[in-house]
Amino acid sequence: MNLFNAYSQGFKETGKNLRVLFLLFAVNFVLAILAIKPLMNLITKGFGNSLAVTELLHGFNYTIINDFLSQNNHLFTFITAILLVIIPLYWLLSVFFSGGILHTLNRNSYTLTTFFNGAVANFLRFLAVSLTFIILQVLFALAVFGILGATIENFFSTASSEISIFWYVFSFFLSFSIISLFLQSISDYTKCYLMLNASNNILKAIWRSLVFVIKHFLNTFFLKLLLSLTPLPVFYIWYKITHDMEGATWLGLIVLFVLQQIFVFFRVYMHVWSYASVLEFYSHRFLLAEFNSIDKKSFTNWNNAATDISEEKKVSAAPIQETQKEEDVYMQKMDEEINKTNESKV
Amino acid sequence: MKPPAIKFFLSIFFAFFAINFQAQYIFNLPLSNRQANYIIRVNLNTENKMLTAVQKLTYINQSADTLTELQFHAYMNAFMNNQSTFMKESNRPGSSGNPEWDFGFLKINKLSLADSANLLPSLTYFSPDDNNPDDRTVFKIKLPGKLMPKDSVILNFEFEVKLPKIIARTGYVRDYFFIAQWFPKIGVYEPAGMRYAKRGAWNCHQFHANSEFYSNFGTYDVYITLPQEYVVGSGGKLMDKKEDAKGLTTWYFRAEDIVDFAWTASKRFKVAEKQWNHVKIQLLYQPEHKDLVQRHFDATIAALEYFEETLETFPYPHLTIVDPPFYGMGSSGMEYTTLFTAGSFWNEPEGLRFTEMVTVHEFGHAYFMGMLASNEFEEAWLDEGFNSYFETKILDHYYGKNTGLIDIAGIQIGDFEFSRSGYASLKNKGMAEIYRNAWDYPYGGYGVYSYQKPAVVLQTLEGIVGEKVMYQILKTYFKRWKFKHPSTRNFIEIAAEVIEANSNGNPKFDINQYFSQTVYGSGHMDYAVTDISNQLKPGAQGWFETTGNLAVKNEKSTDQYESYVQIERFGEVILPVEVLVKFSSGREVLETFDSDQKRFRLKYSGPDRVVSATIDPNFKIPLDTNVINNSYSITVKQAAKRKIFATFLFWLQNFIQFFI
Repeated sequence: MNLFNAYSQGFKETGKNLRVLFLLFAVNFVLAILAIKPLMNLITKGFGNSLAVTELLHGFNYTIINDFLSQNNHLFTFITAILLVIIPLYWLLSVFFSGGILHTLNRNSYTLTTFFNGAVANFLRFLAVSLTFIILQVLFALAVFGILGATIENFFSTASSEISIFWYVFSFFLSFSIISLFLQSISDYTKCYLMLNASNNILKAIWRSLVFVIKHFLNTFFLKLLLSLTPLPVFYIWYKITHDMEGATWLGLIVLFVLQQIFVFFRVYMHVWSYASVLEFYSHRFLLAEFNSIDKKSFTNWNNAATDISEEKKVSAAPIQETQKEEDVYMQKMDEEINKTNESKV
Repeated sequence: MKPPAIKFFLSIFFAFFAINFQAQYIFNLPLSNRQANYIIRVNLNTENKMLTAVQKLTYINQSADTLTELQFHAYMNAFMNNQSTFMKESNRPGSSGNPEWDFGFLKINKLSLADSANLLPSLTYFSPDDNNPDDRTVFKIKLPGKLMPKDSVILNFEFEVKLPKIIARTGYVRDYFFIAQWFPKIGVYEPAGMRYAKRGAWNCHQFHANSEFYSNFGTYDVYITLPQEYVVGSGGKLMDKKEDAKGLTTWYFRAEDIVDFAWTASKRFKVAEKQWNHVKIQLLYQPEHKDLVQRHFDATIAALEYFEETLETFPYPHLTIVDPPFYGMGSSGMEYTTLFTAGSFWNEPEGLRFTEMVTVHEFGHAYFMGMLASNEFEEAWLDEGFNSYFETKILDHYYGKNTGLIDIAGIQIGDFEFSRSGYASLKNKGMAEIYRNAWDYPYGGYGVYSYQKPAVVLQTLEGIVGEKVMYQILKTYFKRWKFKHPSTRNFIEIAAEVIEANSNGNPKFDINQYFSQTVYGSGHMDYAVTDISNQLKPGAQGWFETTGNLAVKNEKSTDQYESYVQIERFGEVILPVEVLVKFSSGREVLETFDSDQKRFRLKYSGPDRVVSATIDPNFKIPLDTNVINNSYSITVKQAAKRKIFATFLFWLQNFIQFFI
């Protein structure tokens, strides 16, 4: 399987997971509504009975926005406070949900029960992984932008034009983006590893995922890149469609709202799609490659797990192998299972 | 009379003769009084960043007073050390660790009359504004004799300038040089009756952090010698260019009827030229800004057209635009009558019109400061404010009323809107008046009170008197004061005169009161509609006397409404404002509310209810700092709030999704 197969297969798998998709969308929607409500109360109070608000129906009006914000400058404090609460909360929920997403995808069982079972089972280990990678991202950000900060003044004094400065600064952002994507890739595969192996050994999982990502660098990195870039053309199309919509009438407003929510739903879809593609890629590579460097003690568990997958379709246990012969037998069994699974998907 | 004095007067005679019979190179007749005329030969040493120059100044005493001393600006000394008034006021850290190269100075080595009488011993630095003993930006010299009315004096200077690293629009960075405020420049002598002078005196201020300049009109013949590989541009017309065997080139520029002379040199400059009517526009641009060349020309031509139509033809046949490199941005956005620096960035999107904004603004100074040579030290609004008003008019006219400055990705901001927001969003709008010495504005106030608020004040005046009358005022002001030194009072007098002439003897409002509130006063303006009430007129109830007897009545309400619209004034500024009142029947009434009361009720009676009221419905009074409370409706359109809600919701949903 290459990245394109994983990408397309992930898309299809996500489409089957409608209940989870709607649940995630609903959580996003409700949380945003809860956060926006007090803000809207402030805005409504700020505008009072003014007709100025109707000017905004026809599009951006700088004078009105400026005067409104000047008179209601506490709004920024309020928005900041809301974001400070809602972002960590939503992040925690997303960590919780990621376990459920991977679990449903792995089991091809798209029920909310499976989803919540997976979410609960994986929450703590996924939380540990997520925190670890946030810390890593922050450390790398400090390192990359620290170097940028330390060198930019010197670069400024020698650069012949703003073009070279642009590319210099851009190269740092690009470097950080690449590092960030790389770390996110490792994070994704670490989650897959932990879930598939029901393991709590975070460090080992990170190490194995790091090795995995490096070993399959082109596929893992570009799969992540492809998944990260996919929303851009969609956003462009969405922007083009909605750009000239004033929403000045009720019907226009409803259409605009629906289009907005479709785009948010797509963002949620992307989130699940990302996990699905990664899992698709990992489960195949994992099965085919893992045996070559496997912890030989746990083949028995593997074997048991292999029996399980006749019901579960996919593997979810750590391998133990005692002899090369046993391994070969198992591999053969696994390949049959994988082929079976692929046929059933087709 | 002592021999030196005789020589002195002989020199005056010959100088006067020379001035009056010299060839006219650019204009057939002088446009100005040409009070201070300079011939300067300057060498630029690009290695040690030094200028060495000789300067011959011919100064004509245009006043009826007899002068015994002359006062000069030595602006470059503002950057001499961190103790100058400029440096202290601007709170600059000073040097970045290399004071020898960061700071600069102007040093006069010789100063003599045409007859060689040495005046250097009489040269005294002094600080008329703050008595700062370390400031050397103003000096005076004692003349050995008297400079009689209408006579002239020739002074020969030998001076050197160590250029600072670019600061306050002058200096060098690498091989880019922007040479401004660089020569000893005579101050303006104001005789009694000129501007606010009650008796004749020099008006020669120190260089302050927040101030520009005040200068005489004159001619400039400037010979600039520097290495051949440098491209040079100036505010003068290139008359000649000669290369010598040492690898040096001498550029000879002449400028007439301007107030200052600046020039620039760089190896990286590319040159683009465009002829527009009689004006040859030269753009010195950076190679990486090639795509922006046309935008500079378009903006300049837009400004030329607009000024020609509204004020008068741009008289000069040459105009130089300088596009500084990114490392020389400290020199961007600076104006001299026939030269200005713009400022642009590689790949600047067309929807961001910062290049156009700076270009139009700096060009506009050719009129406000260049030809109307107001005192920028004492009345900064007369150049920056008027010019900002024109800048916003031009940008919003050519690039769209609400898109004059920004039109990108659904964000649209007009240049006037942006300018107004600088003032309207001030927390303390009354921290200063517009009319104030530039260096006396409170911290952060210079930009708002000399640029933004004046633009709003003039736009509001236009809203009140109408565009036609406004342009008549401006045209009259320009025609009457071009190539002179107008004051705020002069402008107000003309405004009053034109408004009166257009009012058939019944002026709508008091222009003097307007300016006393908005220019001389610091109050802000904020009118609001704070309530609307509709009540059915009650029927007769109670005891009523009819035919001598008291009888009780208990009638039901009538079908007539008694309505009122409550208007309140939260600011200090009182102006007549229009109020548009709409009724449930669709009827509309446009009233003019002209009262100094803080709370006032407009009352209506009839079969229909008042549904909304809007102060200044056509946004003629942008001076009102809060447009939100300018209207009130008893039935607020929910759709608008829902749209805001949906938009906020959408972006919040996306935002939080971003973090997972």
